[in-house]
Amino acid sequence: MKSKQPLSLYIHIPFCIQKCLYCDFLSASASDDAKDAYIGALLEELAFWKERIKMQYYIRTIFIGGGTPTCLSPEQLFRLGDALQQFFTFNEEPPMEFTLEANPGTVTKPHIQIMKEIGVDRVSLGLQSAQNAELKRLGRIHTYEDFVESYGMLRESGFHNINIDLMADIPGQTIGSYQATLGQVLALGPEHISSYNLIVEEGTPFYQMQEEGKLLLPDEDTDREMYELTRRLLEEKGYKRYEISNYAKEGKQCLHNLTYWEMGEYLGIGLGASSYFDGCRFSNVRDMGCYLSRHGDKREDDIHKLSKKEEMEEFAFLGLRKTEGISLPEYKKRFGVDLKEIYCGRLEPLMKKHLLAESGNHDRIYLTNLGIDVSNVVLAEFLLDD
Amino acid sequence: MEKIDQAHIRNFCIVAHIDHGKSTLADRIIEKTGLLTNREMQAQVLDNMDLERERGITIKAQTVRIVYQAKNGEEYIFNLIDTPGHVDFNYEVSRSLAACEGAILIVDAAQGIEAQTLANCYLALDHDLEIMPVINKIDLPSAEPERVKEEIEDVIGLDASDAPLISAKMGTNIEEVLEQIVRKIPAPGGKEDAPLQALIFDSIYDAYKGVIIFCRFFDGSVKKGQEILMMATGAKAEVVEVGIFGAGQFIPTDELSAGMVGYITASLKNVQDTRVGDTVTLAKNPCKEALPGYKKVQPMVYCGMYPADGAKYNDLRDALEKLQLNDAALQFEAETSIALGFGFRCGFLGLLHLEIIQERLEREYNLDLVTTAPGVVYHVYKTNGEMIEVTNPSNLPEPSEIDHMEEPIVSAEIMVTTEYVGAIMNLCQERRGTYLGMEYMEETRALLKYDLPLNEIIYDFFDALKSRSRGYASLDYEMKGYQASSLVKLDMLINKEEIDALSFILHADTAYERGRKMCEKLKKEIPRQLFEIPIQAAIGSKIIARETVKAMRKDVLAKCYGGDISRKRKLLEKQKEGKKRMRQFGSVEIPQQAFMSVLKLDEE
Repeated sequence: MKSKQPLSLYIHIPFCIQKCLYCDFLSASASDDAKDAYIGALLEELAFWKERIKMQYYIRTIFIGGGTPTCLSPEQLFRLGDALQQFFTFNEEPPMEFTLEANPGTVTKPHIQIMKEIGVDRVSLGLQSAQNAELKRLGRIHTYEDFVESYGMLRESGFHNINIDLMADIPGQTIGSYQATLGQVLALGPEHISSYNLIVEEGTPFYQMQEEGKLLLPDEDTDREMYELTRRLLEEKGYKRYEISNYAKEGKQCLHNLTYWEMGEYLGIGLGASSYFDGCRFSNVRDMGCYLSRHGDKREDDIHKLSKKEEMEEFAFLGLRKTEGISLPEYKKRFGVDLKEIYCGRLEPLMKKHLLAESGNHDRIYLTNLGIDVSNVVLAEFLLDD
Repeated sequence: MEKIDQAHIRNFCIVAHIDHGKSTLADRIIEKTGLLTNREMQAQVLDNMDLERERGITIKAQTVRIVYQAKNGEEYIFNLIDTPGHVDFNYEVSRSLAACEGAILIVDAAQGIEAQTLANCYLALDHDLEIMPVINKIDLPSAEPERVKEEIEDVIGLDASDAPLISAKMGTNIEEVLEQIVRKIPAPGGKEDAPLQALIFDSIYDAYKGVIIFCRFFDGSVKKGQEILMMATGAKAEVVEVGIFGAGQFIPTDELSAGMVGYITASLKNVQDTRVGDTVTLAKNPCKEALPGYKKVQPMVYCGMYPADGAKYNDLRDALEKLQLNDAALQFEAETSIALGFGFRCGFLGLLHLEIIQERLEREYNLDLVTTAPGVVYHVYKTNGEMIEVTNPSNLPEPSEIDHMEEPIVSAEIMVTTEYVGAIMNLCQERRGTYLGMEYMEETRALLKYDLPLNEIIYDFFDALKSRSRGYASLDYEMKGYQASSLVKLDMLINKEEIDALSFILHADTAYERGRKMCEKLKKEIPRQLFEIPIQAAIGSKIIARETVKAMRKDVLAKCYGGDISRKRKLLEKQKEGKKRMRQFGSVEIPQQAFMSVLKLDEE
């Protein structure tokens, strides 16, 4: 019998108490009834996909993200978790990683109890900053103290794999305040830390403020200083940067996110969620009414089968987000051609400018620190001509 | 078609300052004479290029033949010859006027006489035309027809007592204009049995008919099959067709004779053979002498035009050749720039002409162009006694070989309301003008006379004039001659390399200021790259200004938006697309936009 393929599952919970000023994800506050209805629709979608994957796939990782999944009541969370357990009946073993995103201020003891019951083994906590003034400026609903409390509860309940999300380039943030945040977080010793630079997205209140000249962000030099500081301080404490914005202790890299960067297959379940499945990229509908009224299949009509060219491009520009870069033998195995031949004449200038480097045994290429700083410039070179 | 006797022909044009309603009146005349039905009337029938309609100006002279049933019961043929309304096209205007016996002078009832009203009116008087003043825009609340009448009498010395008061826009009083054309404008008086003598006042290239020559027939006649001779160019050709102008169409006839206005098509390859102002006669029985006034048109403004995509060089050449078929004033020759590759040095009558050609190339021929700074023709006297004409700064000899240089000077007349006289005098001073005098037209308006270097007015003088006078100043100018001047070549260095396409010649006194502005502007236009880029302005080996484009520190997408990679792809594709619009100079990438933007330094 042919062995089953790994599949990652992302489940989107598009609810939060209040939207942060920088957030452009699909999320909004909602009533309890609305959330109930949504869970119902999620279960329908799960059932639809189960029939289509159970023979050839097994679920390797699960990630429940949002929004704020802990915005669901413990009962709602249980309904979802219970359904997922039914879903896994075709798995011979439980998934290798099951992450739930949580926001301080919304995690309660009953939530934690349910998380344990349904098999969550990794929690991602959105802290962003340890400075309350900065949290307020971001429009976060919690304080640093709320976070410490949630973190403590999770640790007490035996969660051994916790990620803390941080943010650089917060309005009014300084090298000093950012360094203080890093120090406070490192003192807690999470297994994984993500630190994202704030991106001002169109349609957010921050965008509006920026247009009006009312958003004072750290400048580019400060941004790079913060970035370098993160790498240095975290490496001193045993965290390795393994992707542009992600740092982990040995063996604690996020398997689910690695799936995205390594072009593994994943299904996105829930409002607006994106998938890469069977060589196709597709997304679910983004309108809640539409999502609720469709039965089972919630996809937009636009199911895009990747051409070989697109697949090759994406493998390169996603893979290069990882600090270890991409494997040339794997590329050859996957596409039947040598990457160096495909990008003949394009790699050398990048290497000459010290943006791209090759491993000692010539079987990997990766972005240098300089290359990461200007990665868009480098990655754009990996788009092929028609 | 029955033959019309000359007594029933009126050949005339309309002259006016820009925007005083010339094309609108032409439309109304055509409409009232019933040649077109209302449905066929498109606004401004005569301006048939899209560009003309958009800009609201007439670029090419147009002409139309209409039939008018006068109140005396007789039928008259009107040949209305539309003239271009911009100083760039003064020569074309003068040839159109030479084809007429009379001119309608339109004066705006609110604005009164403007610089080009005067210039065009004097031009018409020079050609001994009967001038028939008409006061337009009487529907405007600010109209003062009586004051304007007085102004016409005081300033020009024309009797304006019975000038029709009209609104071309509303169609008011157009009949009176038509009746006055019959009464006031003289009929032509040529000899039909004399040898053919016809004036070319325009020519166009038509894809089906080939070259079409627009002529005013003074003496003699011509018909199909005869061999014609262009007296100035010496070109000979067999007549294929003769005819008259409908509105927007050509109507063939058997013969054209003295007094008439019409067209000839002949076995001619290009309009270069049919210069505006030349005289057409018959090869077998030529007239004794050509009509006076012919001039070979000399471009006054030059610039380099390069295809943004080097592979489109041949397309650009083809397009220029096609445009030249219609535009004898356009000149071009191949040139090479280190920075921009293969392109053409093009000569134009003026900046408007340049802009029009540029827009037509981009719109009608779908070409993306990079245009270098427009310049004039400099006379460079070398130490060995030789004089060369320089149109491309790159061709300027080494400073040690130059004895002295001369630049073209124009005589300018600026009409301005008295409150802005100070501001305009300052402007002319800044542009190295020599004050010649000022005349008061009336209490509130003055005519300023200056000699100005042409290279000071080809960039943005007109815009500056308008903005410093709140739109009230108007300009007319004509070439005066050459004058010795302290000129230098300013070079721009990007990352220590000279970019030839950015060099230009200017007066030594303005070089520092301009060099500084160029550096600032280029700094804004050149995106940050992976290393620091010095931008320098230099005269010879001397650096006179410097800016630095700091190295790019960051261009990274921190987040990958979960599994939605389409945004990432879009961003990278945009990046790649942006790179395509860049030109590579050594290790520096310069957006094409940068070459254009430095032409507009004074906008901010």
